[in-house]
Amino acid sequence: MKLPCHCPSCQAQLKVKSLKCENCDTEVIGLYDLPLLARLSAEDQEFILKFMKNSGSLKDMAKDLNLSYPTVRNLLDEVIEKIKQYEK
Amino acid sequence: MKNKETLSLLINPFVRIAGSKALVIGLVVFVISILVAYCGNMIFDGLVHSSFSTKISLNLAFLLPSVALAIFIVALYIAGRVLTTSSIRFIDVAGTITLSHAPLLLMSLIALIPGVYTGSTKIIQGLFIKNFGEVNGVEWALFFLFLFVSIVASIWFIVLAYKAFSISCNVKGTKSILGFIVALLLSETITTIVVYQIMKHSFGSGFPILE
Repeated sequence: MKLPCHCPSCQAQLKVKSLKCENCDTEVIGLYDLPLLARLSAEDQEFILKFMKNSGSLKDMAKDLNLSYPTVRNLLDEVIEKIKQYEK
Repeated sequence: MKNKETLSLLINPFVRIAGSKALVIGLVVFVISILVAYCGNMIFDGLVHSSFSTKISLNLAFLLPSVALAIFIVALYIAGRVLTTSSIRFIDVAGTITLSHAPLLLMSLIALIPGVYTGSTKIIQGLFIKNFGEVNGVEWALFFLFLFVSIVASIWFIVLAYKAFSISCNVKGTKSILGFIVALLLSETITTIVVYQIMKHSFGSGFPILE
């Protein structure tokens, strides 16, 4: 099941309220921020995974995605920009 | 769906192709355009400008558009370096801009049609002497066909060049439109001066020769 990151009502960033151990049913309740990577869209997360699998090579990424080198570099720049915004 | 994808590739092929691959394909089409145009007594003596002449050598027919293209590439690369924070590559700008030139092949092909050269030269000369008596109906039709194709090819070239600039330099919005317009106007001005000097050096007159 896909992890929802944004509120379906107002689109604000969601937070984690509880975590549960499936083994012993222990439940931790609090208000935790989602990890930075989890806040990105599913497409951006997929892009980062592919980028890592291609050892950070934009040329290999371009081949893998059937896109040109500058297009892949622009996509990466967009993801970097989003990460910088979340870090602020 | 497939038609939409084809149309999208005709307007913006640089999502899929850039760099050295685009440069090689672009150069092949560029050379073919010049050769075909030369066979139809036409030369590209500016970025989107063409003239009819039989007096210009093949060397000059290659030199003039090459100079224009080189100036345009350098102008857009400099504009890209100024406007973007992204790490851009010269080969991407050179490749995509060279490939953008491809629509001008349409102008070359139209110039090959018998009657286009004679009709166009008669009409252009007629503009100077204000007398179109020698121009027949077929020549008028061919002239307007050439004019229509030239306008379509030029607009297509400008759209492709803008997309090439936007993708290879990673600039978007108003910034990219203004940067592109400034680079285009600047390179057209520099090209006009350089072409004038080359023509002056070759023929003693800076104006394109029209018979």
